[in-house]
Amino acid sequence: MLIYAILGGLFVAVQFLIMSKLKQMGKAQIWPNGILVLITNAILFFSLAWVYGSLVEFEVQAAFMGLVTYGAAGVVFGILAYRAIKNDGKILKSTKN
Amino acid sequence: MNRRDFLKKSAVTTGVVVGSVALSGAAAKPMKLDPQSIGTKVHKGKTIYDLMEFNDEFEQFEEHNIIFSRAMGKHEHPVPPTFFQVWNAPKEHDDLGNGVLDNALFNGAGINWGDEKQHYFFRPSKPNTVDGKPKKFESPSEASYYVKAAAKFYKASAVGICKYDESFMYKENVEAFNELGFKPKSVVVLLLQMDHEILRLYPRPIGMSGAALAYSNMAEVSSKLAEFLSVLGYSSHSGGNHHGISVPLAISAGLGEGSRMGTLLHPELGSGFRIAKVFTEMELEPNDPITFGVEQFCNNCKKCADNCPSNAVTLEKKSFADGSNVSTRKGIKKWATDSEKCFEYWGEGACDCGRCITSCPYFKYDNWVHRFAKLAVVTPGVQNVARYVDDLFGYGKLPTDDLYHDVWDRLYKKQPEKL
Repeated sequence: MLIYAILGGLFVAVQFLIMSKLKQMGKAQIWPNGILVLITNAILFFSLAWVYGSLVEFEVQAAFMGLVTYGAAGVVFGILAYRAIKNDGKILKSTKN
Repeated sequence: MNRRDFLKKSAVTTGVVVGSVALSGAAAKPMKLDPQSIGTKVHKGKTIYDLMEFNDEFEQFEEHNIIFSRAMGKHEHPVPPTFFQVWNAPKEHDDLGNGVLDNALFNGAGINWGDEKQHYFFRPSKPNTVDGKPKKFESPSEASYYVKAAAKFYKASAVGICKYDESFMYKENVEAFNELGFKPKSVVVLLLQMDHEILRLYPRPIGMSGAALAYSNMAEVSSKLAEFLSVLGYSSHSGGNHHGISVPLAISAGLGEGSRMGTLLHPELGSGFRIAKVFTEMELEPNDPITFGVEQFCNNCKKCADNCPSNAVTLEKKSFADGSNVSTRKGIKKWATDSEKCFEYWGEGACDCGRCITSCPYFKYDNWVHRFAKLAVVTPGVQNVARYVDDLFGYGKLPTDDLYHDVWDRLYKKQPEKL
């Protein structure tokens, strides 16, 4: 339970730190940057909690599968968040110009 | 620090604390009094007769037709009593999960079970008030509140109430057990969770300790609740597997749905529990029956049937029993398990089995991670692939030798249950 509490605390702290950094850069708008960072952060911390929970249950296969599936989903959202931050709120950069 | 910074830091600190507490709280074990989890549909004003299909052949079932009674003899369709001759025998070899220690653990866990003990615990509790008058409650709803709270205090994992229904009582009690001795108005149905850590070690004999401990708890919790009711002035009778058929009573009491393997599934406890009941003449407010997608889930999953070593769990659709197996009740459309095959296998292995329960995708540790995953299972459409995902994640496999090697260490390190 303590581990889950620490992970919960870290999740909130990391979210705050990233949003503070974005604010300094002037890119802290709620959509899409804030929301995508929140989803990425939540999925990655959930995958860590899943791995810990599965290992406690001696379900090694479940731990690895959780890391792969949830981790992959987190990475995908992370890439979307990175692109949105880099391209001033646009996930897909326009090629018209 | 200026006021703006102070407010900002306070907000962050509060966020961290709330986040931590929310996650820690979710990891704690909640009490399931009236299950209302997400995805659970409560059928207001309905009964089991509205949710399940019955035909003209439906009538009271005779207890001497259940497979255990048939193995005890005095039946026109007896089955070999092999299991009863070997299950409790002292072990000569210290095989993994089947040694002297494991056998001792099992025998200790089941200390409140066995014929004599059952007579002690499962007996009528006559009214026993100071002034000879039963306590009056403003409404059946108020009475139910106190009964459920008491059941919670006595460590029931979940509790529900249904009206007394003769149809789900055995037509005739086997001679060794007491008649109720009064006309009940209500039945309090109690679920007692089995120890996941031990139960997952089925089908080796140490796995039996998980069921045996729950049997002991059934005897204790139900007899305590019966005594509580008798001191309030109402005749009551505690019961384990006897007197009435537990699964339909639990469905009527809003505790879950019947599954392919013939047992009850509870939305939060899953498949790993046993059912006890208390019959009482107190008027209590019944729970409404619930559904949470088990019908559709079991139609697709079939994991219990695939894992059953004796092929006793059917792969077919729900049907009405044709009467070829006297232990299968006629008149209800259901997935009928073949208890003759099941019991024969128990005798061969000198161990009751439980593979259907432990391979079921609903058999998971009760923690927030699995509760989160269950949210997906109640989503329409996802149920069809849940079995595939469960297999992919490696759940429900036979236990490895490592699990048997470490079991005593894990028991030693078990945390005491917190209030």
